[in-house]
This record gives sequence, C-alpha cells and structure tokens, in this order.
Amino acid sequence: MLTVVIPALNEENTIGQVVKYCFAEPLVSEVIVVDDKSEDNTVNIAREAGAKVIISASRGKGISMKEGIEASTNEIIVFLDADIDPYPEGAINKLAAPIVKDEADFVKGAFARNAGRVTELVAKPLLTIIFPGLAHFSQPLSGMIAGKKTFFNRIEFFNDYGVDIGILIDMYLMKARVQEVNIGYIENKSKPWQALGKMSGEVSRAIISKAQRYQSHELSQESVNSMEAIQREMNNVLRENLSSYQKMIVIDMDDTILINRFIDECAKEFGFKTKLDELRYSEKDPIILTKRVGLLLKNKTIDDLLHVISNMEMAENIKEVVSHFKAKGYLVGILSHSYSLITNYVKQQIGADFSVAHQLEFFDGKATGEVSLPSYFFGSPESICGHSFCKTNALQYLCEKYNVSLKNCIAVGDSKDDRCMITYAGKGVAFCTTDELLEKIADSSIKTRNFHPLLEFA
Amino acid sequence: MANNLYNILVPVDFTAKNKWAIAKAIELANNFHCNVHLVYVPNLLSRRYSNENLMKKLEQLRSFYKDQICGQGALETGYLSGSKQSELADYIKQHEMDLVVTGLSKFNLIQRIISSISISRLARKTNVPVLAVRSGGLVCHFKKIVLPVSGEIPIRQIRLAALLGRAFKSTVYFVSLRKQVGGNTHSILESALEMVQSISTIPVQCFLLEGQNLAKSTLEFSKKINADLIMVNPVKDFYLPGLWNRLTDKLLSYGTKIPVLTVMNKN
Repeated sequence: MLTVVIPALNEENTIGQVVKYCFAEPLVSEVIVVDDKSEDNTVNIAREAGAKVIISASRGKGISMKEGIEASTNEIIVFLDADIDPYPEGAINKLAAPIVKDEADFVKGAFARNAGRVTELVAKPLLTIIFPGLAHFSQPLSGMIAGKKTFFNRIEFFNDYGVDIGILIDMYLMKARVQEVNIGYIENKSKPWQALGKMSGEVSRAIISKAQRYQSHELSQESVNSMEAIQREMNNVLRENLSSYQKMIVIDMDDTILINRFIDECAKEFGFKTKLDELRYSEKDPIILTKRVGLLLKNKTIDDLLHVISNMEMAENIKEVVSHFKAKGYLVGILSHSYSLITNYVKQQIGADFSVAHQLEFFDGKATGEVSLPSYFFGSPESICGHSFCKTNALQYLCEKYNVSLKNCIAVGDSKDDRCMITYAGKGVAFCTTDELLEKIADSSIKTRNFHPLLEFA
Repeated sequence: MANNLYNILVPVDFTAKNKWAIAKAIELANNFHCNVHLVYVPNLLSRRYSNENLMKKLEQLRSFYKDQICGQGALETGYLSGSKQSELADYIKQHEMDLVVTGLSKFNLIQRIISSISISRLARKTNVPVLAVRSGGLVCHFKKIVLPVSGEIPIRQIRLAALLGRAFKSTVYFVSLRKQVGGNTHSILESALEMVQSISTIPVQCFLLEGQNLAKSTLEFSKKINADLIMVNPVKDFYLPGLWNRLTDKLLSYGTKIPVLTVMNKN
C-alpha cells in the first residue's frame, strides 16, 4: 500500500478532486494534505474528501514534504501537486509501479507539456556540466515523484523552487535506483515571467550547493570555467540583442531646454560678463575653458546658483514632451557641459530620468572654483569619434550604462559642441540652432522654441 | 545615414568581375562586422539560368566565400528577377542595405557603359552609396581617401569618410579646383574641413587643383598620390569632359583602377 502526500496552499478549487482521484486508486491507503496555512477553504474541502490534513508549522514546500513523510504510515510515498485537475488516468500507479516491483527506489514523473523555460535554460545545462548522469531526465524539476520513505528520511529538503531538483540529486548521490516514467498529458500553466528569475536562482543554487557539498573535489576547474563562459556569453548575447529594444533621448540643456545659457545668466547676475567673453575669445581648448569658466564661480554659494537657475525660463512644453517620451518607453536624460548641480535641478523640474554634466566643487556650501570633469567625457580606444573630450564619449557611456544601442538614441542640441553627438546618434535633431553646420549634419531641425515636433520621432 | 555598416549588397551575375566586388565586400564586412548579401540579378547581357542551376550556383558561391567572413557578420545569398534597377532598389530598401559593392568589367566596353549608368542611377534612386571596384583596385585598406568638393558641403561623403577613416586610419584629401576658389567653393572647403574635425580626428589635407574639370583633375591627383578610394557625387561636376563621356554619363570613376564610391549628397 502507499501514501499520497499533497502539499497545498490556497487550492480550494482543485484539492477536492485531487484527493478523490487519489482514493480512486486501489493501491492508495492514505492521503495526507499538508496545508501551508491556506487562507481559503482548502483544509475543509480536503478533510471532507477524506484526506488526513496536517497544518504545516511554517511555509515552504520542502518543510511540507518533510512533514508529510513523517506523518506517512506506508513505506512507499507518492507526491502530487494540488493544483492539477485532472490528472491523467493511472498516474499514481505508473509512478509507484517501479517501486512496488522493486525495480527502483525513486521515480520521477514526466508528463507531456511545453518545455519549461527554467528546465531547459537553467536546470538541464547545469546538470549536463555538474551531474551528467542526470542529464537524460526530461523533466528534472517535476514535482510528481514517488519513493521509499527510508530514502526520503535521509534527504535534506530545500524549502524553495530548488526542492524537487535537490531530491533528485540526493537520490542520485545516495546511489538509489532512479527512474523517470511518463505519466501522460497534464495541463500545466507556465509561471509568470516575474517568477522565473526567482525560480532560476533557486534551482541553480540547489544544483550548485549539492555539487559543492558532495563532490567539491570533483567540481573541476573546467566545470567552473565552462559555467562561467556560458553565463558570460548568454549575458553578452542577451545584452546585445535586448539593446535593440531600449530607447533613449538625450537633450542638451543650455539654449535648448533652457531659453538662455546658465553661465551667461550667472555672468549677468554676478558681473563677470566681460571676463567670460574674453575667456571664450582667447581660450579654444574646451577642457581649459571649462576649468577657467568654473573659476569665475568661485565663492558663489549653492543657493546663489540655484537662485539663478530657478529664475531662468525653460521651453514651455518640455515637461509634456519628456513625459510623452517616457510613456513611449524612452529613457530621457540631459547631457550638458554645464554643472551637475544645475542639470540635476533641471532634471527634477522636467521629470527626466538622468542628467550628465561636470561637477562644480563646493566646500562649506561655497564653490571652490574647481571643476571635475567626469571620465566619460574623455576619449577611450572605443570612442567612435576619437575626440579626446566630447559629448559623444558621454553618449557612448550612457548607451553602455543603460544598454541602449546608439542607433536607438535621439540627440537634441543647438551648438557647435553638439555636432558630434548629433552625427553619431541614431537620430540627431538641431534645436533652434544658429550653427549652419549643425543644421546640415542633423537629420532634422526644429526652428521654433517648441519641442512638440520631436514627438514625431517617439 | 547610418554611422556604421550593417549590410553590404553585392549584385552578382557569376562573371569574373563579381570576384573583386565580393572580395572587397568581405574585407569591409570583416572590418565592420556586417553582413554581406550576394544577390543574383540578371542584366541585359548576362546569361540566363534555370532555377535549379541558379540555386546550385548560389550555393557554390556561398560555400566558397562563407569561411572568409571572420567577423560577426554572415553571408546571405538570394536572387532577383525582373527589372534590375527597381528590383535592386526594392531589395536595398527592404533589407536596409548600407552599401552596394559592384565589380566593373575590365575590357567589356558595353558592360562598362551599362555599369557606369546604372551605378549613378542606383546611387540616385536608393540613396545608398555604391562602391565600384576593378581588378586592379584590390588594395587592402582605404588609406588615402580623395574627396572632391564642389558646390555644396559633401555631408554624406564626409560622414562615410569619417567612418572608413576610423576603421582604416585613413587620411582624407579634400580637393577642389583653384579656378572655383574665391567664391563659394573656398568657404565650402573650409566648412568641410571644420565638419570633419567636428565629428572625427582623422587627418585631413586640402588641395587646390589646376584645371578646368574637377573630375579629370581629381583623377590625376588621385593617381599621383596613389589614392585608395575616391568619393564622388553623381552630379555634373563629377563627369569627365568630352562628348562621349557626357553621352555615357561617365563619372570620373570609370577611368581609373582606384575604387570609387558614388554617394548621393542629399538625404
């Protein structure tokens, strides 16, 4: 005779039929439903159907299975899932038969269904590398199993999605006689994608931790290397291919989102307009110019600078356009040669996702005049334009960071500084520019201070 | 226009000139990790094949060249029937081709006339650059790129030159006729120079050439410096002088072994 153990959690719709199905099998003398503190009527329905019900001490499939085994009065135990109705005819008999005939100590039930994603992508590749002896199992994660109580008692159960694969590996390592039998066709709902990540993690952990515990000396460097190589290549391929679905728009700040340039407004406010004009005339190196302009802001407080930006006018429909792009799945950011204090303020105002700019240094709330230039503005061997200091380098960095292909980027700018980024972005838009070359390079040009025409690219 | 090459089309008709075009296309594909599409498209003079023979020949072509692709690109084959120009234009549009590479006959005059007309037409019709190569033009890299400037800033040529220049570490030579300088052309040359510097760091040199015809002077200059590529725009300024050349739409390209890239300037 045999016992059927059914771990259950909120299965009032199916549990009654599953218990009746078990009792219809002549070999079954006992059905134990281990309830994981269901909030519905599972317990009562199971009792009414004739099952012995145990309320599990704590949640988790592994603990429920262990409690079911302890409560079982027969040597042969069959585990069934509570959420399947109907089971194919004779499933219990098929699972138990090899044990009854003393041809096996543990039987894994396989059933016809679409291949499970975690089974095919995670469990099978790992088993092939670490436990090749189990690689032939078509459904190593199946929860429909049968086995001898004496073997189950020697197993340490995982309490998550790793439980079923853990039992299979333990049986294999105990050198139990393990078989897989086909029990027919079962309608099994695929798990939502959100659950797949968790499941993949728990299944991998179960396989690898069993391998570490039982055969650490056998887990060769080659296995570790091959797992790392597979994982790295999969990541690369996924990253590469998924990047074609991500989209991003980067907008310059001065004279684009803002009606004027921030530094020009500061020059008016703090009276260094002449010095600024002289600097712009005499200093052609963009790095030195940025550094020297920063010195003009020495001793200005954060409040002084925020006061200037808060009084500056922004393009009137920018917020609306940003929210439209975000709704269409775009990442929206500001890419500017201004200061991050200011671009972050503007980012908050317009609801953008990120901003990238230089760092004006402060000490005791006052600007020191030092400007730190983030490394991503500087060229690298991968730089597509080759410029030593350029917005395109920062754009490439952003594409890498957010996994967006450059082809899927829209860049919007107005000045000579933006020519390069507008050339290399998938779509370059010149915005109210006075730079003739920029207008020629850009794929599109907006001549009025209105961001609405940008929406046609969304 | 794209800032990278993703797909290169080579129209094939199983003649000797295909060999040079395919070799050049594969060389580019290995540099830019892009796909090469070998597409059979019959022209007026080419031999007709039965479907079965055609498939067999394409398969032979594919198996011969597929191992030469060593980047991340792939080799595709296909065939078109009907009007060559419109079928090619449809294919280019449908498969988002970034470049067409075509081989030029060395001796067959009629083929050369047809090719020269069809290249300018294809470049005009599809807006996709067409690279014409002849047997002698199989240089390994485009180290010296000659870009004649006339009338307007050659934006698309410059972008393409920057792309190739980055990959092959090339020098770009802007050339213009001295007689045209003083007017608009001088400022165009300056703007072109500024534009290259704005979008890349490839070395650029500007030359003012003597002569009356830009195509002819460019050709002479290119031969003198052993240029590896000439970029032209299929407009009148780039036609070689003489009645015959005018009648046959002979772009400056076809008088030379140097590969010539025909790019429409306007988007």
